[in-house]
Amino acid sequence: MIIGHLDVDAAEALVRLRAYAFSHGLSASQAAWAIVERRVSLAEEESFQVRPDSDGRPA
Amino acid sequence: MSADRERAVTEAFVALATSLADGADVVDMLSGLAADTTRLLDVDSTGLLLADHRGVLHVVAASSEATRTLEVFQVQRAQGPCLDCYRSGRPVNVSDLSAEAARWPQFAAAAAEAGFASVHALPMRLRDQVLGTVGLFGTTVGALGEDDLRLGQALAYVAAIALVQEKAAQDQALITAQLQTALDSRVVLEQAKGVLAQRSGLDMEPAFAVLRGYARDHNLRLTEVARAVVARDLPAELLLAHAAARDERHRPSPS
Repeated sequence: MIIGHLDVDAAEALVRLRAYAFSHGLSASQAAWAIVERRVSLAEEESFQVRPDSDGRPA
Repeated sequence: MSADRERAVTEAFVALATSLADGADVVDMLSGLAADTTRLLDVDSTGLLLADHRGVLHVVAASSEATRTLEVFQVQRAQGPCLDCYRSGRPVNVSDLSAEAARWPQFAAAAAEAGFASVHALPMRLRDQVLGTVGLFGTTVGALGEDDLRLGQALAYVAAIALVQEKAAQDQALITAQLQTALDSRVVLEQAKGVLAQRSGLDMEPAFAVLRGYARDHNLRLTEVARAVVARDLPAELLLAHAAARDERHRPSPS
């Protein structure tokens, strides 16, 4: 679903998934369920991740 | 056996033999087998698990593409009747899952949550090697009849033959390579389902139907279509438009 949403390849999608999981204190599997069940959308997270003052701490 | 059921059993074996002869896509063929098994036997869902070279089980095909159902099958990589069946090479029959919560706590909980009450696991065997298992899941408590189990086992053996082509059957490295190809195809299929589900808002089950419909109507292999969708060489919108047009055509006389 990340591939479809962000127009990235499978390897990149996995990196994004892991980054999201890490930054939210989730396992990759928990993050994957949240995306599959449409409880979260990674596109909305983009601005958060590239924000200059982002210090990478879990939200 | 009633005449209708006999015909349906014959058709299931003919479908398998035909796709074998045509060199059909292995995941597509096994998905068809899972659907046939579910229809022919007194079960509600079928999951085919295949072992990788380390002996870890993976879902390769299922009668339902819903993620929660696939997860119940997949959780058996760690514990469950299919794992026990794979390790022993013998059928594992569980007529009442609630009585086995202590034996497989994680699996029993996941299965119960998905609405399953009974499981029969049958080995997919090629000579003396177990390749994986066929898991037959029921939503009610009860044991499958002897005839159903025999038919299920026969379908499981044919599935094993379908997975490993005859020329390779003597060569362990080739067997391993062919099984890994099937597992890799499954991964790409899951990714393609996700792309379609994300682009359309469809659930995984109809997303799978869109992929399969497009592949069949264009005489392409399911895995090739899935790969093209994941690579974004084949736009998801094109498949969705095709499915919509297909639905439109079939509406006046539903089959």
